[in-house]
Amino acid sequence: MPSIEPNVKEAIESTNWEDIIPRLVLFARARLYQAGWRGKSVGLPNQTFKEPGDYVHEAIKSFLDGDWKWDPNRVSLFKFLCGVISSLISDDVNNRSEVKSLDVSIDEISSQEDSDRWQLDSQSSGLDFAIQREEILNRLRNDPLASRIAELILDSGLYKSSELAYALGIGVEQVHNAKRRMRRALTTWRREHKVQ
Amino acid sequence: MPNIDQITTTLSAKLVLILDSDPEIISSIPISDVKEELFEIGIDPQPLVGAIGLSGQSVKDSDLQTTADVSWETKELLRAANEEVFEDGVDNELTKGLASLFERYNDGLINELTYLLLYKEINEEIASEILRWLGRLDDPSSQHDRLFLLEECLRNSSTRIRDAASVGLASLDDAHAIPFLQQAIQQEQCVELREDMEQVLAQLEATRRCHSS
Repeated sequence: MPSIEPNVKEAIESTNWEDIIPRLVLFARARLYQAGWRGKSVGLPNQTFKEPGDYVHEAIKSFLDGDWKWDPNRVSLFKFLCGVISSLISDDVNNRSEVKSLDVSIDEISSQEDSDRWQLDSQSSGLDFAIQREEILNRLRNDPLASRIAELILDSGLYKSSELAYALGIGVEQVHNAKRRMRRALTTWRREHKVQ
Repeated sequence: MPNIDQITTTLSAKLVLILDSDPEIISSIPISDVKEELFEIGIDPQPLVGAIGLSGQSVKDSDLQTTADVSWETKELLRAANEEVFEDGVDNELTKGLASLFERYNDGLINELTYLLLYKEINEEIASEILRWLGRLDDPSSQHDRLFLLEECLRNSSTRIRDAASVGLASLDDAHAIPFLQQAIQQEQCVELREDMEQVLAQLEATRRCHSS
């Protein structure tokens, strides 16, 4: 480990990495997906596609190597590393989207790892989307704020909490809380469906 | 055409991924759920911990919430409350337990209660006690979230819960609830409850006048 500030060293040593790393992997997966969902293509052939874990590994290694400066007083290590991962993915997306002949979308890549879940992305019609959308909103019907946020994400492409808060005229923390409830409701629902 | 379960699960999976792109959301998921979800998609993060050469320490990143703990403890408290008999205006094990959990988890408890009340079936009597407690709680930082929940519960199908929400709003005494109460009064079928709501509305309007003068 290179020479680092004592407070940074202390913060790194006291971090529960077994807690942080799985979350970072989930975050990297979401960001990779989002890079495709927002209309950009990763544009990589499968053999060079990096897994979410690769980005987490790269982010932590480069951070420990001193490539990124972290101020523990400004932001938590978890959020900081999320930022590093976003930056690495963003760099890859921007660099690789220029390789037009190798244009493979995230959805297509994902469909190879989980065909049941992702195949519909490229095949679903507008009607399918409408049915799915209604089912989700129905699931959130008792929670109008979460429901409204889901509508904005699905219909308007707004997803950042600050943008949603502005659009709804409420505080960012209220949006965070509603998003948390929505996520929990949706994952519970998906698990119930799987069980059935 | 795929069956509805399949396609709905697909879009909901997408939506969850979009939510996961926000560190604020990921940091609040119980770690057991995170690991289970990764396992479901065939990712084992454990080798990554080893590969980077970092061992898990006992201290948590300060930003990560202890959602699993608050979820479990709240459920245990509500389970125990099933045996309780509640009396108006008298502290009970449920409210004492809620106060104790709030001291430790603050907003984490409010979020947990909001989720349970909006998405889960909770015994009406317990739900009502919770709503009245939320109204009485003296904590400005969680006022918005408590207000939101109480306002939403005015639309609940249970008369008892609507009544408790109205009582909670009276305790909170925040004029923000006025349009929600007006709407609830218009739709309320129970005459007695409607009259109670009208009293709460009058109180909040007086509060608003007081603040604006």
